[in-house]
Amino acid sequence: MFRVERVKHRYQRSLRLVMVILGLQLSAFGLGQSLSFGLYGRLSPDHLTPTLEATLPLGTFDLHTRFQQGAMGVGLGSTMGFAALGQVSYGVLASLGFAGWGLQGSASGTFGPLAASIEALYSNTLRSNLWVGDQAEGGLRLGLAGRYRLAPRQTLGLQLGFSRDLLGTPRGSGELTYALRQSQTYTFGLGVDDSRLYGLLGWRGEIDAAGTMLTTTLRAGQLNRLEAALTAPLDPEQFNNLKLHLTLAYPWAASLGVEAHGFRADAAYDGGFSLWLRYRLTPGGNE
Amino acid sequence: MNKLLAIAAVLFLGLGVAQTIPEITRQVQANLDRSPWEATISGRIQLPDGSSQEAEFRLQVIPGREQLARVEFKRPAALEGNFMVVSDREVWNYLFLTNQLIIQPRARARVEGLGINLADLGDFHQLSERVALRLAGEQNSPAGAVWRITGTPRDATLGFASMELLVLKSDPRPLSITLRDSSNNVVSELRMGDFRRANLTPQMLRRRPADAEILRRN
Repeated sequence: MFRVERVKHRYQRSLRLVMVILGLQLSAFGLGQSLSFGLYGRLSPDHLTPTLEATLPLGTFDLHTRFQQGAMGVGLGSTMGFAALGQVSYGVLASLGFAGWGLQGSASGTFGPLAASIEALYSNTLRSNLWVGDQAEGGLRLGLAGRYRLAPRQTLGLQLGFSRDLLGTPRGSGELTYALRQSQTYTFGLGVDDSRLYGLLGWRGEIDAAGTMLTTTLRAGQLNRLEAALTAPLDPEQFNNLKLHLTLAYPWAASLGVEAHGFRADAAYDGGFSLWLRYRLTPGGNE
Repeated sequence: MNKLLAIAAVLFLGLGVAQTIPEITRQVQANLDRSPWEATISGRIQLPDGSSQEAEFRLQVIPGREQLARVEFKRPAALEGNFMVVSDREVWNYLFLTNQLIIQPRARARVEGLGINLADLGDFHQLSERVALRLAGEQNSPAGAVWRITGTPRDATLGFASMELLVLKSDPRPLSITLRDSSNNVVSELRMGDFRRANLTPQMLRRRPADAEILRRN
């Protein structure tokens, strides 16, 4: 018990040191790219924690740090652009907390008619224990996604996933989509998630003259999920948008997110209720 | 009679002055800076892998103290819907396939990714700063009499060894631009057509899907 207390004390001291360094960095640069303060609360299991996320430019990289009660994460990411031809982004993130540790890496790129992304995550605890915004799953997860432009307005998409949870149970998923883009985008697809088959229908388009965008995706079959996102421009010059996200799933789960002027509120139900309130400071405007 | 002679002398001198590169540059820049304009640019461009592609863009320019240029891609098909917005401070690149907007500081952005800096066509003064220009003569074109201007880059990283520009004399603006490599092979050849003055606003040039993912590059 004494040893656990000592480790905990050492951990808290390290955390405080990192916070101080981070604070110095922020004041030294005076232009930390973004800083988010948050408060996350959850009923069953009962949990309340402040959250802090910071992104700092570090040469051609961005340094990401995040803190919550009992866990922290540090990551690096970068983006390379090839003018209008495409871009490549990549990043790594390491998390450490009382509950365990986690590592994740991701890369994505677009070049001409092809876009692809790959991600790999491993944690020896539920990822939600290391960061409240992550899913309540642990172990290994691999993901691969690709999009190919068949014709100027037709896109083929493929997503493949594999995971092995903390008990060693493997799970696979795959989804094939076809998108027809005119003034509005229609998406049709088929998918399988852990031997559950489903069909996919999607619609995306502007719903008013101000440029408000609505995106809806329905997956129905042996897996049922409806996702909707609404983005309304508030101040286009400053990248200020009102964003609404809604997810409904059966077996019952739901989430609702609202975001505007740096404020963000996410409410979710997945067997227990949670609420996450955040405020993001971005020197030079929000996005 | 003396007056007529004086006017003729001034006109002659004026024409003589117009034959110099700084004066042509000044005339083109003054003409392009007069009001917002748009044009279609078509021809062949070289991709980073060395291959050559048929290309067509729509170029829109708002001149002035805070110059703004938008380049929309029509061809090749793989790039249709992509666009660039170049301002004094930033360069935006929108990728249609992934609905992403990549924002870079202008100072660090390489807008020459396509073998040619398209924004230079709207900023003739900047072009003359980056390329040493020389008047090679005059010739006729379907659009009228043109100045033929050749140039070599002052900066070796621009990706070409020589440039040839045709500039319309009656309405001073570039009509075509040809870039060649050190073996004199054509790397890019673009023509500027459908030039017209247009009532453009910064909001029109900066328009983008509201839900585009923003990626900022340091």
